[in-house]
Amino acid sequence: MTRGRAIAQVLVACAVGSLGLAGCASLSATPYVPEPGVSATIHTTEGESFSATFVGVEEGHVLFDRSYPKSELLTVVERGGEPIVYVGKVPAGIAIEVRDFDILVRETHPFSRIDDIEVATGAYFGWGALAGALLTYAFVSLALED
Amino acid sequence: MSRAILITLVLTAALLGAGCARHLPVSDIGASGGDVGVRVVTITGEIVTGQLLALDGEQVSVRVTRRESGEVNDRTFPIEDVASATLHRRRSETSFGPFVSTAVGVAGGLLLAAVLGGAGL
Repeated sequence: MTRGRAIAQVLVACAVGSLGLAGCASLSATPYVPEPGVSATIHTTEGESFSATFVGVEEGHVLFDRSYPKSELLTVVERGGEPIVYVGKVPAGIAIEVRDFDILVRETHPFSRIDDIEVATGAYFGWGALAGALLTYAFVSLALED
Repeated sequence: MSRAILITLVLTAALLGAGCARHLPVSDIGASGGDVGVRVVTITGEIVTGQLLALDGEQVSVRVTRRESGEVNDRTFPIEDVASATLHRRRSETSFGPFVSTAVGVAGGLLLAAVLGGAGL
């Protein structure tokens, strides 16, 4: 296979993918997704910082979903029809989803406990782009060897 | 040729920097250039959707754009008047993110192949 043909194959694959995605995006009416939640780093007044999904505000309290790795310290207890997650003896929040390795917990905190919230915006690519670059390089290199 | 490799690395780093997530304080996100959607429901039942300008323990500020006229209007709600406010990601981030990631990756790989191929590596 020639270099030109290998590059042409990659470009055609990209063009087909982009046309499909552009078609999907043009159907949307609003610029924002309907599901609430943005990736964020929460800084508390106690000096703790952690990553979570910042859902929003409800009745003056901050709501976010936080992942807790499963451990012996973590227990889920039904209270008033809601699955309450305890870390040791301290209630952390309501279990949103119990997964294989972690539990997603909806936490509610007063603003007075929150020092700062940084939200992630403009995340168009990350490590996937690097993996794509290496795969493309490997493909073109192998194609040229043939 | 080492200059070409250097330029490739700088270009790749610049692209990665441009497309990677920026972490901005939610208390001043509008001025920081961030774009996050917000849906505010007030205690009187009014629903307002738009771009989040600021959110803290005292107030929520929203930039509302009317779709028909394009008129832009900034509104601020005291936090005690807000029953709920939910934050939403930009649709383009979720729909175009994988494509942009793929396209940049492929472009980077092709550039790498061209530069290293030309260098005989």
